[in-house]
Amino acid sequence: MKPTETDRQLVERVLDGNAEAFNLLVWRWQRQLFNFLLRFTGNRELAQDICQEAFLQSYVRLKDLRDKEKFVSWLFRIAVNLCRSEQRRPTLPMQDAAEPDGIGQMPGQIRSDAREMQLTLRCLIARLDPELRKVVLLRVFHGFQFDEMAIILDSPVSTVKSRLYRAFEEIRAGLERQRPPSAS
Amino acid sequence: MNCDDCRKMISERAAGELSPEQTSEFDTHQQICAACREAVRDWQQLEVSLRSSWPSEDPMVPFFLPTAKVKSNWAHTVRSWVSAASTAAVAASLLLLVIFRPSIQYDPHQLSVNFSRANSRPTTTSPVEAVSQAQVQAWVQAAFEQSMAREQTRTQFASQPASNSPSDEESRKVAQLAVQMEMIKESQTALWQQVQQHGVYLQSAWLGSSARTAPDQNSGTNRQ
Repeated sequence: MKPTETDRQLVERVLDGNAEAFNLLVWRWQRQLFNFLLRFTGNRELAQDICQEAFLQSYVRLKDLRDKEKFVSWLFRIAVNLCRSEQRRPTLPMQDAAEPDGIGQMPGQIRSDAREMQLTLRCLIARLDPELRKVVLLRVFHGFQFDEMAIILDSPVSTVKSRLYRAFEEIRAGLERQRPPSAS
Repeated sequence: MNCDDCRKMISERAAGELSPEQTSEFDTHQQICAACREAVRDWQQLEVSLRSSWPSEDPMVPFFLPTAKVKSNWAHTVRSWVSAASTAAVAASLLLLVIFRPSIQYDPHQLSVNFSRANSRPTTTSPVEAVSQAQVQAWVQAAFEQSMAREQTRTQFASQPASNSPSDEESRKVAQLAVQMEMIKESQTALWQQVQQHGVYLQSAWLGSSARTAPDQNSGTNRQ
């Protein structure tokens, strides 16, 4: 095992028939992908299922990957497309677990506790439009650059930027609404 | 650069993704616009708050592919074992054949294989010696006598006086036909004798000395 191997080298090894190299890719990106899906769906089981399905599809379709440097963007794109497929289902369990009980239904109440602030922010993220939420999660939590996000979301870079700006404005506005009257 | 442009670049500026020209413009605008400086501080604070609001977790069930190496090794091991076992079986069979030299006897009623070393080995004589010299001499003598008899018959017919009468002509044709018939019979007999000799030779080669008396009797019987 070579810990300094790049994604490109690992992908080439997988394409040469070494499945163990793919396990190294999984080991490298599994935590990131799972947490992205968990934050996006708010459902651990669903996030786990989509994560595994994304890795499986990426392994099966790995030969179709043109730019091997962009493996992780391609992997997240597969996961995002799987999320879109899940969203089309009638019994969609998304966004339920991301919003804790009662947090969003008490505007103006004083919350000095740091834990409640965290829950409020989670709640605001969960209430974002799915496209805006993806942009915030990819940028803030996973540190993707705009060109990578454009690949993942299959959108122009300018669209991604404007979505991020809009998402931040909505979150800020939500925080303003949650702020107690004495503080405003 | 106006305030809207500046605020859309806040995230890129924080991540260092702007070009040098854009960075210069951004910083210049920051120096002259207090509202945008405040917006940058708010943005950065919000990013930190968001990041800390939702710490990462470990996946519940780690996903790993079954490595193809293990699979191929297992299949390869099985294949190599089967191949080695079949090779060893063939080699052992050949070795047994060389060591024991089984005698295979085939009769019209049964096929028997004898693995006894004493029976399987050839006895004192080789198959070529199954036909003795006396038998060969007898065959040559018989052939010589036949040839002599045939020559006598020809001489008798040739010594008869020629006549121009129709009855003499017919009798000569009859005599020629008789000679031809005799020659055909002799050639058939010789051919049959050869067939018998080859049969006896093959039989003696398989059965050994026990069948070696057959050629004389058979050939004599057929000749009669």
